[in-house]
Amino acid sequence: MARARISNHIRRLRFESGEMTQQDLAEQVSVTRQTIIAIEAAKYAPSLVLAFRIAAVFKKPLEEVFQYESD
Amino acid sequence: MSFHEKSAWTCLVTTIVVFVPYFAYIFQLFLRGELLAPLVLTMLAAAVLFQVILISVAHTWFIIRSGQKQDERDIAIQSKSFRNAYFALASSIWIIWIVVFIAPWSAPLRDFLAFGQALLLCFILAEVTHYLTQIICYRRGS
Repeated sequence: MARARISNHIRRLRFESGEMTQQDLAEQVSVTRQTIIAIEAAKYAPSLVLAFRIAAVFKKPLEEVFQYESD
Repeated sequence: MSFHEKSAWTCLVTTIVVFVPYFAYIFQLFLRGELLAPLVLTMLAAAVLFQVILISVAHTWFIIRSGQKQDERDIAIQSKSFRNAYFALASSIWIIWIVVFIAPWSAPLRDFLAFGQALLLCFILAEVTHYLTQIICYRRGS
């Protein structure tokens, strides 16, 4: 099976949203700060529900926040 | 560090601190042929009680300091660590089973008490695998 990676623009979007901290975002989507760190670094692929919640925080469609990259 | 990562570190360290000396002593008794049920059961009860106290104190401290929150990544890491722990448990039990009932030199292990301790060792190995997997996943960020 081909390896896939979910990249994202969360870091940039956080800064564009009034320098939102990782902790602020974590609280808004009900996860720990460590999970946001892992998602930002593309080390953890969030569930679809969490991905939608994150996109909703930035008021962006899902594909503007997350990108699917296949090898 | 999240609550669950601290918890995994605590459980790993206490398991090693408590059960490495326990099994080292049990092995010495086994070699000397002095493995007796009352002594073994007392030691096991003391070891488990000591570990429960250590873990309870540490977890209470972590909860007071930073709360206990679990999200989907914690659950995913837990599933992965249980899968690896099951693999460790199943394979170690098969190894013990084969050694005890097939190897000609393993007659002393066929004693009920010694066999029970060997199975307990399998369980502890599975626990260590469980905590190690959690720690590795949290450290990697996956």
